[in-house]
Amino acid sequence: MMLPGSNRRIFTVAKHVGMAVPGKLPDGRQMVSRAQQEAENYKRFYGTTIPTKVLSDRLANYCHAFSLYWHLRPLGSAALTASYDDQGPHIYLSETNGVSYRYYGIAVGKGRQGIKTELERLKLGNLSCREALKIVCKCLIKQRDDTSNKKFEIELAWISDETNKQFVRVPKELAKESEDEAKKEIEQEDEDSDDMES
Amino acid sequence: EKGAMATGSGKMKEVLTGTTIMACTYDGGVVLGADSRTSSGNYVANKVADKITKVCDKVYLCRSGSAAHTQAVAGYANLYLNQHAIELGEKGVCVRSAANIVKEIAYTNKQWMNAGMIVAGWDKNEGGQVFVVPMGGTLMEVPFAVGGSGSIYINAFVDKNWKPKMTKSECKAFVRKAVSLAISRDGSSGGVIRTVTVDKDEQVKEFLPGNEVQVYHDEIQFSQGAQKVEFVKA
Repeated sequence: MMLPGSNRRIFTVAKHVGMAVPGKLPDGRQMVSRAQQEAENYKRFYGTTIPTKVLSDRLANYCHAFSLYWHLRPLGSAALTASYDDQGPHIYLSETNGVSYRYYGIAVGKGRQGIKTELERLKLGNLSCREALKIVCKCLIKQRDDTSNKKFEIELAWISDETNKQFVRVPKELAKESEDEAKKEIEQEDEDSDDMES
Repeated sequence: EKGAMATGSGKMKEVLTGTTIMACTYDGGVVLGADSRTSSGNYVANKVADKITKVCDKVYLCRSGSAAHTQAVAGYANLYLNQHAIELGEKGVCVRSAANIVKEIAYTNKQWMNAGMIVAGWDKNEGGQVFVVPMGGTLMEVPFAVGGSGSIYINAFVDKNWKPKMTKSECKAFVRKAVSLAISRDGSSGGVIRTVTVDKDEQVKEFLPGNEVQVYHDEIQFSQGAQKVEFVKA
């Protein structure tokens, strides 16, 4: 019954930084809001855009604070940050326990284990953004296959030289194209594996 | 009776760095220059003052106006930039951030402040940069800047003679010449000419002693020192 496009989980923190939040969405939104404030304050005080490492460290410290006090519960989300600053593109994961690491490929949420295994097989250094789009779709679709046949939506956003180093949502047509391609490849693989079994 | 610090009115004047300060970019870095006179009315409180202060690695601040105000600003800037450097880690502080902090302090406290400053330095991403924060708290990035009471006498000279992509020694000589011209006309500027050169490899603090500062026209020549210049070619 939900309109497509509601239940967004990917947010823009600053022009050059975007964030995806798994788990409890309200907690995730809290983290995004904090990140947006940190980025804005940093720009105001230091005159430059916030470096990704600084942003994720600050966010991780913020999450950690919730684990120090008896009257607070830890945030039920994490912040998967993608950015492009003057040191290049970065992916950081700031977890609710207070750690923050940089990754070349990472998954977080219910189906993360399977996707992490898939990502480890890839030669991440040689992928273009377009190829990565399809791979991301594939991973997400595959991981949902085993559960119920509920309809689901894939939300995609990216940042690269092509997007002028700005974090933007993937254009609708391109997103649909990647999704369809991914579905086709999955069907192909299923057929191949069926052939092999018989 | 206390001493010779009283002016004609009998009241003590605030210590000012009525000054000549400047900074300019060259191919690969910046050169900052300043005179060394701190005056309190007609009394020269310090004739060898150092008006170029380090605020963080590879970034320096030229101070003019109230000595107390600018020293306080430099102190705060140093504090915030040290904390900032710890948070940044390997990536060093950029000159723009240093200038922005100086500007925030100057602008937020503009009612009480009497401080005109120039922030200049070198960082890995953008190379040599000069930012000027005049009284009131504006922030502008410029290829070269002059400040202080003596700057008015050399605005045209500097505008005409600064060239982009100078060499390090050309730039140093240019800065020394400009400051010496200002000293020759401005009563609140004098003493030695201090310069700081910042580029990728080094940060060098130098000074030109008083008797080696260029003199012009009517000034009395030191017995041993720079040759008197009778005509300054434009």
